[in-house]
Amino acid sequence: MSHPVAYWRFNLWDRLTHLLLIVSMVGLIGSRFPLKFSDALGARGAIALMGGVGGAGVIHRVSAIILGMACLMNLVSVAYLILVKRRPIFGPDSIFPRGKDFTDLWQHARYFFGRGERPKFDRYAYWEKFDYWAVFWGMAIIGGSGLVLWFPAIATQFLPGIVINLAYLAHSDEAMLAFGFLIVVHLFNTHLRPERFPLDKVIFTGKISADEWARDHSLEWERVQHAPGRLDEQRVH
Amino acid sequence: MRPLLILAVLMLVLGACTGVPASSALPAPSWYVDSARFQRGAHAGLDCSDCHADIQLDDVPAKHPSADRITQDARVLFDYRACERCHKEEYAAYATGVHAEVRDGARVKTSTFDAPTCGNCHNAHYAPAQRTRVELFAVQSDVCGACHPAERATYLQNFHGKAAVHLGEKRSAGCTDCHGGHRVASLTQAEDALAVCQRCHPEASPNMAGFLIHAHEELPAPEARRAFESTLLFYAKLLLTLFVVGVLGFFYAHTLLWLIRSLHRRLRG
Ligand code: HEC
Ligand code: HEC
Ligand code: HEC
Ligand code: HEC
Ligand code: HEC
Repeated sequence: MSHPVAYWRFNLWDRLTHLLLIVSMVGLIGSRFPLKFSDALGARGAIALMGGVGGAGVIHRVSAIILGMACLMNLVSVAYLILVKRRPIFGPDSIFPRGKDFTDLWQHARYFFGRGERPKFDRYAYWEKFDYWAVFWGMAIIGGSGLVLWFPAIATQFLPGIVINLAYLAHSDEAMLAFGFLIVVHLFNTHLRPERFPLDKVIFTGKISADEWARDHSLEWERVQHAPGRLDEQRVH
Repeated sequence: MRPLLILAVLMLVLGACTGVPASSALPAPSWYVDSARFQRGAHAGLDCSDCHADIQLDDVPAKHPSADRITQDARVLFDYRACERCHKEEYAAYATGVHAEVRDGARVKTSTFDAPTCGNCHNAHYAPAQRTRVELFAVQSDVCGACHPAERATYLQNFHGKAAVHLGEKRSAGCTDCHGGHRVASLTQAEDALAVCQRCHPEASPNMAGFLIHAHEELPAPEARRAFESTLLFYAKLLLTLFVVGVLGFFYAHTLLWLIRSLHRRLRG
């Protein structure tokens, strides 16, 4: 059996970053759901498993640090692409949003209703970009409010006490948004939709097959055909 | 799937073992005295006459109470000054507290409930002795919560209430850790509140005591205490909820439509 040709889509650094994201999300959500829903069946047991409310707090904070590390690792990766590889910030390969993402969304929506073709996507489709930026915006809001809750005495040295209430609100609601988004939208878009079911391994192995590349990121695929050096560079040996 | 199932079973078993507190509501007062139960309580070994000066001892038969007396709540009839003899501290604290003030008419109440005496919070015959902090958390939340339901609800929304009452964290705070059970300090003065927080959070600054522990979810009346902050919280909650529902609504619809479209395409071939 001949192996289909595969190409590198994600490097080891980015895959590791994603793994850390998963670990931190499981830790963060797992240690705080039993507190948020503290009167639910099993909440007491879950907390006991983590060594009590204090233990769950430690898990939550360690996970938060891991998440912070993953974000820093990603900043390094982006800085490398921009500063060393000289990739344009708003270029077609970039994770930064551009006008086409909005027209793609519109086109995709039309396609859902059977009006028109599925749009052609570049390296990152608009929903992939949203996934990515949602983490950053979540980091800013959840991370910022989390620091207030972690160090309430320090935060209230220069902020009024009501800020702790606001921090709870923002932390909890944004976390529910992140959770609701991850387990439905992110999982479906990347893994569960019929074309990908049950698991899209690309983010874990880093490899994408030629077929998939041509189908899911056709603009990028077409572009690299005209840059033969890049295809060879990215081929998996 | 297996590890998840094992985890779920472990959670339930551990939850059961760490003791979901049994109902801590007081038993209804009754003329019937269960002496076996009495002997298991904190007052086991006391004589009936220690509290009931009017009760007759073995050799002299007690007079049967009159019909109108027997239909009244025993807690209203009982003269709780009898408790003072052995519980001087608690009695003195109670007597100088808000509840006694309201009872004596020295202070006009706004609540629809009557102010409590000892008997509203303690069952004199059966009160168990030496309860743990965690047991008392549940008792307080039920006993105080019976007359202060809004405070109970907001407390149970707060970190301290969830940790103490639901999760049995003994370092957390119950009603009386902050208010006391007998003097019941209202803590509306910032410095009183700060002193309370500092017992467990020694590093707390005056602003930290401004954290609304009993943060109500409704829009406050304009003359309510700290109305501005509560209003701020209300609108912040509203905006955030709209935002969360908006984003999730948009992407859930997106996902659903996509799913339908993909399946449709597959089935059509
Ligand atoms: C620690 C104090 C205390 C002791 C000891 C005690 N009682 Fe009571 N008793 C009370 C209080 C307070 C009430 C009021 C209602 C309530 O809390 O149940 C009461 C109520 C009663 C009542 C209902 C009618 C009433 O008088 O108001 C009876 C009957 C009664 N007690 C009998 C007894 C008997 C019999 C004993 C001895 C086995 C006993 N009590 C021991 C405190 C005590
Ligand atoms: C004759 C003395 C005496 C009288 C009168 C008395 N008590 Fe007690 N009470 C005790 C003793 C002794 C204990 C046991 C203390 C212990 O074991 O920690 C106790 C324990 C208690 C406790 C339980 C404390 C705990 O450990 O949680 C409560 C509540 C209580 N009493 C309430 C009352 C009330 C209400 C009255 C009035 C109706 C009253 N007592 C009258 C002697 C008395
Ligand atoms: C039987 C009903 C009842 C029970 C039980 C009860 N309270 Fe109260 N409490 C009142 C009433 C009535 C007032 C007066 C409130 C008002 O001004 O309207 C009051 C007032 C207070 C206040 C002062 C509020 C203010 O505005 O100054 C505090 C604090 C308080 N209670 C705490 C407690 C705590 C803590 C417990 C449990 C240990 C408790 N209460 C149990 C009826 C009760
Ligand atoms: C508003 C409710 C309330 C009232 C009224 C009240 N208590 Fe208490 N009391 C409590 C609570 C709650 C506790 C549990 C211990 C704690 O949290 O401090 C308690 C604890 C006690 C204890 C045990 C103290 C200890 O350190 O173990 C005694 C004794 C007591 N109360 C006696 C009385 C007496 C006597 C009266 C009447 C003068 C009275 N209480 C009125 C709520 C009340
Ligand atoms: C009886 C002890 C006790 C008292 C009194 C107390 N707290 Fe706490 N509080 C705790 C404990 C225990 C924690 C959990 C600490 C931890 O594990 O991080 C906590 C946590 C907190 C947190 C952080 C919650 C989080 O999500 O980590 C805040 C904010 C807070 N308390 C504010 C207050 C304020 C304001 C007061 C005074 C009105 C107060 N506390 C009074 C015991 C107390």
